[in-house]
Amino acid sequence: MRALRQVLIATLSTFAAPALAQPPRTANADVKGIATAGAVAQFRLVRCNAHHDEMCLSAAFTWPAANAVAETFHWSAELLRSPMVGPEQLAMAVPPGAREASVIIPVFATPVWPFTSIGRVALTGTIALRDRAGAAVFSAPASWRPPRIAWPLFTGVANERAIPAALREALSIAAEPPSARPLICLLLLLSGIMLIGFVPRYLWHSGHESDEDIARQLAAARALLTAHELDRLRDTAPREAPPRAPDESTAKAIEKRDGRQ
Amino acid sequence: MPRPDGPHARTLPATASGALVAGWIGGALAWAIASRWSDLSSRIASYARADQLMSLTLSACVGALVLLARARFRREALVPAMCAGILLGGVGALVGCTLALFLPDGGTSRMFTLVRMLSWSLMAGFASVALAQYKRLRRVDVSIEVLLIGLCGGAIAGAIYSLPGLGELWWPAACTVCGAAIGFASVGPTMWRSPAVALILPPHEQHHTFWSLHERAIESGMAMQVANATVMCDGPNVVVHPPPSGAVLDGHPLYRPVQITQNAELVAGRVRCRVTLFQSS
Repeated sequence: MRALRQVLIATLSTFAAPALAQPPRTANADVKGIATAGAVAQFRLVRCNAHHDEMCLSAAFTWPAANAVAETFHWSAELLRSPMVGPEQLAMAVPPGAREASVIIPVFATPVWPFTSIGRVALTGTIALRDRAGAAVFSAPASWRPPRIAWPLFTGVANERAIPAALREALSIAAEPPSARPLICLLLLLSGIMLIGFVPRYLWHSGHESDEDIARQLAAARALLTAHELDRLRDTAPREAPPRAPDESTAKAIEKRDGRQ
Repeated sequence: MPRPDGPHARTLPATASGALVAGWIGGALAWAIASRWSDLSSRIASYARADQLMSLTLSACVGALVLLARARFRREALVPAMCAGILLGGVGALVGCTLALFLPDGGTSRMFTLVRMLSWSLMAGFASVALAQYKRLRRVDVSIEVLLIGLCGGAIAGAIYSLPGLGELWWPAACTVCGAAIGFASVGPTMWRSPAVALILPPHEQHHTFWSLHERAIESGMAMQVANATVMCDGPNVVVHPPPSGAVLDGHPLYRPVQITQNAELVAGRVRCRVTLFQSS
């Protein structure tokens, strides 16, 4: 009971505490803060359209020096395999004197053919901020991993102006097809009905007997004595002799039972 | 008295396949609930919590339906079984998922896929063991078998979830496969590791349905009433005690206790029952 209580308390504190604490809306599910040489990069997952279909990784940078004029992402090849992500979407110009920048890249784009799986694999790579000469002002390894069991959840909505034009175009095309969820729901419903019908009929078949077996069973059942017949037999049967006393010899007991004493 | 040598059952108990289907439906139900979540950022602080919430939902749904089906098959009270399924399944999966969170993510994508499979595996394994504890499972060998089947089923579900492309389809597929594995693992070994299973047969020319199935494992030292006859398991021996008015065993009248053979068919009153011998305890 004590262990159960501890588990319950731990469960409640896990889920109820964040809800009670009412964190600000900007709390991110997957913020990865990286601080190198005074620069900070943060990542969070956001949704890119109102249909909740596309998910993007938002990367925001803050740096103290104002000498950077360009920013470039260098991610692993996994991200670049996506048909929606090109090298041009991974780089962004930073206005002179700016001390912060953000970029949005898609990581989860299910309704688009060919379907991508990058939202379900861990992304690793390097982010770098370069100056006019191309030298790295800030460079750090970065990684993002999706949930292991849950579906990646949204943590906010991307600012439309922050989405690169090419990406916005791709997403507007992607938003056209309806969600596949009703279709999957129908598929699951049909397969559930099929399983409920199939399993009892073909896996639980009771091996129907032949007519001969049934006839044999019926004959045996008819041959059984009914309760009434048993009572009648008990009444007509010879009465049982009283039990033999320990000091009686067998012969005496037989004589006593036969009434010949 | 040693049990006579004879072929042990090679078929699955109906309850095991029934629990598999119930788990499958529970997984689909969990997916239907979780697919409605669009933005939980105000309540869930990290993906770790999202994983825990998903594990809890999945195993609670699966546990509720699996123990509900099991209770119906055994003609036991339904509501306590369902509540126990929610509690045991949820707590078991939460423990498994929380343990999995201690695993490192792995540097490469391949390693992450392995870690994800392990996470699903631990969740399903612990949920199966927790659900099998309903009605006090005390045998260690059966618990290990439950855990192994749950771990394998969870790993398969994790692999399905990690398949490339069609992500929106792989997730419900993984949920249903994981649910089916939890259902099968939590009920199957407790049935086929019992000395015998008695299945009440439907009337002639009729089939079982999910609602009409009536099957019970006969544990060692336990007796089961079939109409007015009693099927008892004494150590490795399964013996039928007919009523004074007799019963029919394999088509022959029976008036005295007899040791049951494989797939013996007992007719007592209007009830027909088939006893399948499984491994001795």
